[in-house]
Amino acid sequence: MNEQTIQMMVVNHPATFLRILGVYSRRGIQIDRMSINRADQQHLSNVRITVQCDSSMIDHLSKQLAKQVDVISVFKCSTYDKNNV
Amino acid sequence: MEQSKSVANMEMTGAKKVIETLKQLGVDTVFGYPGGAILPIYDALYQSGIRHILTRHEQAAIHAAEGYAKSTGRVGTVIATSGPGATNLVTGIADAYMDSVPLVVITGQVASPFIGTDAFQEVDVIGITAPVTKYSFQARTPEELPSLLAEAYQIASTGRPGPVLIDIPKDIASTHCMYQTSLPATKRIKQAISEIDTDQMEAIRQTISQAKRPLLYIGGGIVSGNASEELLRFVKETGIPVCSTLMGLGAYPPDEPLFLGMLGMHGTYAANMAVYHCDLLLAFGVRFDDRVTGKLERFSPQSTKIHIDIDPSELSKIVPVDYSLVCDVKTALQALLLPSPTPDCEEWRMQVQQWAQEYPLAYDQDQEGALKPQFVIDLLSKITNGNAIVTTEVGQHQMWAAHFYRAKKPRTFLTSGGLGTMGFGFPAAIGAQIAKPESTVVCIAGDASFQMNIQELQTIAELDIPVKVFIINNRFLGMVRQWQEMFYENRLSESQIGGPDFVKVAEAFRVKGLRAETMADAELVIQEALAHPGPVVVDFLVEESENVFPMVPPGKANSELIMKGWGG
Ligand SMILES: Cc1ncc(C[n+]2csc(CCOP(=O)(O)OP(=O)(O)O)c2C)c(N)n1
Ligand SMILES: [Mg+2]
Repeated sequence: MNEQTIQMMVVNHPATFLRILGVYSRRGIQIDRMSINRADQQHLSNVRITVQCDSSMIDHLSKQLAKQVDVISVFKCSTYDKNNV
Repeated sequence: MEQSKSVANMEMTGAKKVIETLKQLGVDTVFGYPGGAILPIYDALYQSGIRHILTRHEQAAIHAAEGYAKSTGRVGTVIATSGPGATNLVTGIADAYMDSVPLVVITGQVASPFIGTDAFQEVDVIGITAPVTKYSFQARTPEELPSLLAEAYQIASTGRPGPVLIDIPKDIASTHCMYQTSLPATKRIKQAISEIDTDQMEAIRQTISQAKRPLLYIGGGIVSGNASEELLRFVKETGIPVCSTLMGLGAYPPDEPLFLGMLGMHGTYAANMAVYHCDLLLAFGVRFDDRVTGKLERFSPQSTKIHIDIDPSELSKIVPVDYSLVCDVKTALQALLLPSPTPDCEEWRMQVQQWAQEYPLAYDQDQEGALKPQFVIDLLSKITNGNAIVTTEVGQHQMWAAHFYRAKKPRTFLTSGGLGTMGFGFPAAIGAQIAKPESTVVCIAGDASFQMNIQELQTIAELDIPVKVFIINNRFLGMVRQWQEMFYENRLSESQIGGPDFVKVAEAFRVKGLRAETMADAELVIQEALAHPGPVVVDFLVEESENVFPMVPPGKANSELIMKGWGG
């Protein structure tokens, strides 16, 4: 188990996080840190979510997230980079 | 012309625009049930030219829409009201999600100012269904309705298909506004990448060429990807044997010599032995479901695995694979055919054919004895020559249908695979018959499953929908009893279930009812039912203690399948 961070660009509307957080809760993964920042373009937000899990789980989660209609891009970053928030 | 159209504006209600847009999208049939919050939409539907099939329960409306979608490949459309109307759809939405069925589900919602206040018939349907929808929208303005609908149909039908829900508050549907008359262009929608990496394709072709014991494991992706023709050519050119999941049945002609039947928990001996012993597994349009794999650690232990699927999140989800390709199977097969690899696997072909001959699917029908469920389905298959559209309910009869109904073509064997929903089959048959009025549509039902949506007899009676319901009546939750006999020391807790006189029930709904108790009856009654122009219910009183074999018991490897009876 490692600290794992996923960074995403998402279309932000009222139900976006219902779906995104559902990907984590369904697998029983607790969220340790999360930040949402509105991007320059309207309706787009940068999201970083940090959890504790193994690398195969993070692969699975990132594929499930990438599949969401509202998710534009997904990057896995294995350690939390403070400068990047 | 097109130009002047797109700038033309017209004032109308949101509801009217919903119906106009559905027409522009080519929707001619919808399934549903009205109520308070959806009244504006039903008002706009009135005399609109769109055919509405009124079922007797919203669950039946959505399974009917699934039957419509599965039998045609088109998107099924469902309309229901808020609150209980919406919650009655949930099972069908989950069913469609599990089996990748393209649906657009339109629900009414309480008026915007009341949302979130526990208003009469308010439920958070977006929240309730988020985990089982591909996507969902709640309309916030009447102006956005056309684009939401256009996007919903696109999302439902592209990539891996699935259900999309649109929740429309009553005030949004009632408000007048100015609309452009043209259909709006859809925004960015995620498209599956179907670009094939030629190096990887070459590596895959090489691997196939070198295999000694290759096996195709095909599933629902072949059906929804319309890849049957390419698959048949691929098998003819490579000589690789084929086994199928439940969802893949019909995708490959069952009478072709290299077809080994279904694999997995109730799969054939040959398919299960082949998957265990193969050295190359070509997993095309499948998702390694637990009913297929048995004990994961011992699933196809010696094989190199090639997985092709349109959904990237399926690759290496359950079983780590050696080669994976995110692609629709049709495109992948077309590429693989240029030219086809030719593995040298004559010995293996003889081996699998020997397995198939040694242990074919079998049953004993005693001339004088009780009617066997397998015999009824076998006979239906022979009489229709596998050319009917068959839907099933869930249980033992579903597995016997998979074994003995030899569906010749894709989209003619419609069953609830992922969710295993009792109550699916009868309404799905209604939807398939609406879509294919010229086809013979038969629902192979269990006595208990049929009771889950039996009220739809009124729908078929009233609309004269000539569906034939064949009840495999064993007076039991047969599949539950089988597990209790095998794994719970024969303690038959609540699995013996009563039923009404189905013939009389049918007649009460003004539907023809027939019964068969012997072999001779069965043949006559099947002929009579199929010849009858209207709907028919046939009650086949079958042997009650029959169980489904072969069986890979839970926690066992595919090679450890049990072939016959069990001590109990
Ligand atoms: C809605 C729902 N409830 C419960 C089950 C669990 N279940 C699976 S098979 C089965 C028995 C079905 O009985 P019947 O329709 O008579 O079919 P049989 O197995 O007897 O052929 C049950 C209860 C289910 N699949 N779906
Ligand atoms: Mg039964």
